[in-house]
Amino acid sequence: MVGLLTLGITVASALLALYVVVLVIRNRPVDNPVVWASMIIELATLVLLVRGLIGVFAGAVYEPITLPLYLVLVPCVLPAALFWSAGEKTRSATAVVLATLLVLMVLMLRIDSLWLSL
Amino acid sequence: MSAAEPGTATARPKPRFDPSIRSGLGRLLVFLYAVFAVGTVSRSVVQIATVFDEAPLAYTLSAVSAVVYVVATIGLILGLRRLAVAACAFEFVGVLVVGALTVLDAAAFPDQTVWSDFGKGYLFIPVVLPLVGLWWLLRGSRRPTSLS
Repeated sequence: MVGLLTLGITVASALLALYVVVLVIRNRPVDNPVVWASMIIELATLVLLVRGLIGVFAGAVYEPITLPLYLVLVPCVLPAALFWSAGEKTRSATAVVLATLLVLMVLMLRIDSLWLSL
Repeated sequence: MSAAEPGTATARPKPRFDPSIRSGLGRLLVFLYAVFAVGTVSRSVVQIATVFDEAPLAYTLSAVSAVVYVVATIGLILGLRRLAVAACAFEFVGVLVVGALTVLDAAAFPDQTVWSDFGKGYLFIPVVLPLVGLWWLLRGSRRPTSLS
């Protein structure tokens, strides 16, 4: 299930990133569809957190610190970015969300590799 | 307006705090530095607490880079231009020195640091970020263009 969740979050982040690229190119601020899509991704990261922690504490864990740390930090990234991006209506503020989605995809790859190494 | 009015006859000194450096591109820089700060601090704390003896030089340098990212983030958020410039400059020199050391003396680095191989493990962002930061901070503040 963790693999499915990380894959789903990666695909959703990639699709949303494509949309945000268009906003950045068109010099537009973050709009409601981005916020709604972000909320869905956020929900998935929270499910990943719960499922991941259950897995970590239930199974044999090789490295009990890094994976929980990633799982806890991941749900914080997108809300923080949306909050910071909402501070002003500039192209760079929109690019903050784009950068966040790329970071999220990298984090999913990292969580995947840590999960597989358990 | 009277010529004798204080503050008008002489040039004003540069403000110590300059919030404009966190606007426009600065907003993106703050976010990227904050991401690197959180990432490197977490990684460094885990490394030093658990496996420090395995690669003391690499993990010490990881801790140094973590402090630099934290200082740069604080400098940008609080509008402390000099502090942010110093952190970006230190970061750039650090990436070049550590990058060169990891290439020339790989045996001294059994594990990676953020700055190893000029930031290759982080898509070379560690070497590009301070350059963009220095360019942004030293070109002078410019009011960001509001969107329609």
